Amino acid sequence: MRSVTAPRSLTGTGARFALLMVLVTASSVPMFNILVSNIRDRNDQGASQLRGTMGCLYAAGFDPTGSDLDNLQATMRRGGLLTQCLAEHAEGPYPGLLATLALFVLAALVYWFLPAVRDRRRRTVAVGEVDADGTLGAELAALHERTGIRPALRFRVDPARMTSGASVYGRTGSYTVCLHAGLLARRGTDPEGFRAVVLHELAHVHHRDVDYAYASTALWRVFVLFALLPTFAVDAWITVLALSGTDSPWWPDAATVIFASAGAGLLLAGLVHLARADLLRRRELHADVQAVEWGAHPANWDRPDPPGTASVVPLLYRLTTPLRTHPGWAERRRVLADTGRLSRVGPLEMFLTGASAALLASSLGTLTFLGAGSTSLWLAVALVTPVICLILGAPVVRARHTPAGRAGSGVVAGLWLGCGLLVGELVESGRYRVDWFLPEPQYLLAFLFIAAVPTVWWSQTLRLCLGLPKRVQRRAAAVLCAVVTAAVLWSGLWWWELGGRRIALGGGDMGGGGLAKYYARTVPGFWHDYTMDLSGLSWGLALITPLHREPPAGAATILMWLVPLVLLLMQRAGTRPRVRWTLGAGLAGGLMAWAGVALASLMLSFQRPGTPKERTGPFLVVHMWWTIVAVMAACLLTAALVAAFSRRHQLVRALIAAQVTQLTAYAGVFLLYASDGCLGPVNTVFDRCQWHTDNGSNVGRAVILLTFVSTVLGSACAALAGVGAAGAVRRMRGRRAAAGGPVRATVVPLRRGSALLGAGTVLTLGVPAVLLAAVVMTTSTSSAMSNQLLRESTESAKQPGKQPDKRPGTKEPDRAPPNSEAPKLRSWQTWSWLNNGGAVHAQQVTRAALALNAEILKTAAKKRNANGKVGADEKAFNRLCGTLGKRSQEAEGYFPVPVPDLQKPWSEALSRLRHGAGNCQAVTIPPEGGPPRTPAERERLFNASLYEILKGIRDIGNAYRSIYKAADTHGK
Amino acid sequence: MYVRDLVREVVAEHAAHELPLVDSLRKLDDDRVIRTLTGRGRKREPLGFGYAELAALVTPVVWLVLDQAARRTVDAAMESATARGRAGMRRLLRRTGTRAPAAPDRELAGLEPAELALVRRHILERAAERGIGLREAEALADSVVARIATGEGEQPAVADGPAAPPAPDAPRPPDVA
Repeated sequence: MRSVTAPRSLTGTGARFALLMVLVTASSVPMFNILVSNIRDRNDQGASQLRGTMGCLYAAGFDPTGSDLDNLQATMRRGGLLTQCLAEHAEGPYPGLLATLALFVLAALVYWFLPAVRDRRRRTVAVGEVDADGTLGAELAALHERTGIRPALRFRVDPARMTSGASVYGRTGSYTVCLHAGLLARRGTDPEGFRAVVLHELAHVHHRDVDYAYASTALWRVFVLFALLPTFAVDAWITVLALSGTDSPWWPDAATVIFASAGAGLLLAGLVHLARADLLRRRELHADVQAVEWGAHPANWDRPDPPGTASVVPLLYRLTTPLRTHPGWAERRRVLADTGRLSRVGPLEMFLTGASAALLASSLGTLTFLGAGSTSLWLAVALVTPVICLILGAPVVRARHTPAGRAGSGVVAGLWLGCGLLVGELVESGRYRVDWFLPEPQYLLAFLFIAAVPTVWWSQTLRLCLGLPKRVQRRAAAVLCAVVTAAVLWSGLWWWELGGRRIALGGGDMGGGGLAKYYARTVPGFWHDYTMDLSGLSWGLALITPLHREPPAGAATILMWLVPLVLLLMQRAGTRPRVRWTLGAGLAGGLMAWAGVALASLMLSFQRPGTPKERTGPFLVVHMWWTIVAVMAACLLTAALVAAFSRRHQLVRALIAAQVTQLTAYAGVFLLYASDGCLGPVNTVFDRCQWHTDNGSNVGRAVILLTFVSTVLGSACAALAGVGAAGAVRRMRGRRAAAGGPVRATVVPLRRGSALLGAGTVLTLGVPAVLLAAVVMTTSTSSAMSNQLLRESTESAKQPGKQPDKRPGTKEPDRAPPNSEAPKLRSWQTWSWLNNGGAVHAQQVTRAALALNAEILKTAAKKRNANGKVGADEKAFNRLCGTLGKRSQEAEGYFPVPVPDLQKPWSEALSRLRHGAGNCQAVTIPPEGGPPRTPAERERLFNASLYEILKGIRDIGNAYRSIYKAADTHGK
Repeated sequence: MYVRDLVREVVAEHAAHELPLVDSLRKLDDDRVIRTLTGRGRKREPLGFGYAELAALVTPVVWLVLDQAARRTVDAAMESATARGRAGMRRLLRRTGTRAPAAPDRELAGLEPAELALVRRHILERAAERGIGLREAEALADSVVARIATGEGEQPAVADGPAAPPAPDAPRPPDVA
């Protein structure tokens, strides 16, 4: 029985090994892609280097000498067009995939044949050759028998090692235990020690450590040799070129992009080394425990550490511990004395897992065949979540079996995981940044919450899962909780992709108040009264909107509180904690939300415009915004307080309470707007008392849409903050929770009917929440105006997420011709602009203009009337002017010319053409309902429009020529 | 008489449990054995486990001292620097994996009484270094010296022969009257 539990507790390290190997494999795809493209394009000169994704970015106005924010805005200006261009020019990941496949095959061959090579090189000998009396072979066979190991196993002797040790190597299904020559002599004097060493090695075989250790080593060495070192070499070569005076706009302004790939490579190398050493150390300790279980005497571990390790330079020894693959004797003894240490969560492993997750997500994001959506992120999360769940789950499961066992809360582990994610993101983001520092680095701290919320949630719900009465229930619940943990982690990371990254780059409000300007433009009215509200609104919406239309996030937010609520109510009789207080706190929070909403209305009523029509303008938008603020604030505050005053299951209780608050608050919002006009000073738009169901449901839907997901996730973050604050206060007071909240860890005696009550509670809360989620996730159109605004804001928000696809620095700087930077960059930009559609648009406009010109000439050549004038074919002119107008409009929809002083004449000429063409159309076939005009007036207008068009044609010709000249300077 | 045979005889008599060790070492050539026995390198293998400290072993003591003695006789034969260089080159080649023709096993021949005394002293010194007790060390040293003295000029393979009596000129332990 005991031998079964050991491998199970080992599965955490197995998953980590698997994650490490997937990370190495996934990282090699983009690395090989860059290497292949570098080799393929090494001879490109001049314009040919501007094709592909770089061309798209230059055309959109990307500027390596600018700042991150400028580039973000430039690429966001025509986000859809840029996305389309990038999608058209995206290089397939196939060279990288093929190379990775080759790498994998090579690593597999190394893994397979390494044992044989090792045998040959070491000149090991069979045991029988040194076993004169046959006792050695018999003893080894007996030990093998005792462990019950099934795979093929052979023993050999390495005569060249005088130490009293052994090692094991091999490949799946065929293992070799290699005894050192010194160990053979030891068998005579210290037979117990001999057995301990052999059993330890057999434990490695039993735990499949040989497979993991040697497979990861083979893969890593092949990867270093064929991917990492060449990448470093290319980076070094680029740096040498740049330092040796090669002139390029990329240097030194955009040196970050050059160093980012080297930085990511170094991070990967450090990470793999530390993770591998950590895993091997853990596996050693597991093998010790297993060997003792098989009968080795623990006294054999009473060895002194080698001299010079602990005495001479203790600090150095401690510092280098994470790099060593073997634990010291003291550590081994500690673990043998208390095997619970094995399942303890270490900060290092969480940090490494976090950094691996960040690098993995970034590498998988380059696999374009996975689609532009969140598939790659799902994949990364699916690989990381089992690791997190197993690491954190082991101490929880163990604490349940041992009476005195105590598992951590998961907060510290989560924070370390977040630190890893943060570091990974910081290094990886260098690939698409040209500044050394993020403009708003404080937003990176969001990763602490992104990681801590799922880890704490998992730790607490797993405890609830283990309290279920039946084994099947426990297992099913644990699996469900792991899935929800994955969804919560995904939500956090996806929030960062959609919004957080942009905010950290300084573009939270779409750059320089873009969102505020958009509101001011689309909602007519007097916005100057609400400047402060508007800036708060655009900042707040940037934070809460990224996930508002993501169904997985919606599902995660419902399950985050519903699953624990059900688990709480299903706990084993006699140990069920009280939930009544939590629900009561939620209701109190709901009342607080009502009060907050009423207070916000009251404060705004002083600024209320005079007429209902005016009130539906900016006032209503601001009113809704403050309603949202009141609802969210109430929920977050409730969550923080409940978490601070709870003894156990803090996060879970906080989420349940916050959900009660949220649902109550939504009811309040509906009532406020539906009964608008009856509420005296709290009235919003109407003055007459009447029931407005539509008004209530429309505004309510908008509020729910914006807050449904973000409130739950925000409440979880607030709950963690509450736990932290309460912990700090308790520590300051110097006693553990003596102040005591109203909650004791009380248990409810089982009563008849309580199951019914529980089911009622779940249904009362769950059904409305699911219905609301279904409504907001499926509504495509909503009459509430904020919806419309938000759609635009999220659409633009997705653009920065596309940027990591490009790898500008790795291939550009070394090919820059030695010229002064500004004109060269201008020519790159304008050339790319022309190349990616500018020239085509100019051609189409010219063709339409020429057709019109031909018609003018044809008309002029007609026979003149008596008054010296000719009759024009109105239908033909209308058609041709329409075409010209359409072409001009299409050209205006293309990227603006990247150089501002060329953009002005170009856009002016286009708008003149469009205007003239519009007039021409309106005058030739007057639109219905237009003003009646006399023939003379029409003639005058027609001629004026034609003159305008002719002037526009001249202007656009000039503008195009100057653009072409600017593009032509770099000698194609 | 070959060094490796003498070592095995002595070990069989004084520390039979070390016989597998000697047998495994006998699979290597003399140079490699000496490198192994003198090497202090503690190379870590990924899944290795064991005790690094070298136990009070008899084998390295005897083998190293006898090898030194044998080499002195060989050194006298090839004093030229070129011969030494060739030996070094051979060692280098063997290390890189190309098998040079195996060097003949070292032989002990024609030791003077003064040299025998030196061998005895060296064994005592090395044994003390390795933590072997004085009495045991002296018995060991006496046994080695006696074997060299009696084995001279005879057939080398005497592994199964009766233990030779100590040589008359060997100094006796002080507690033996």
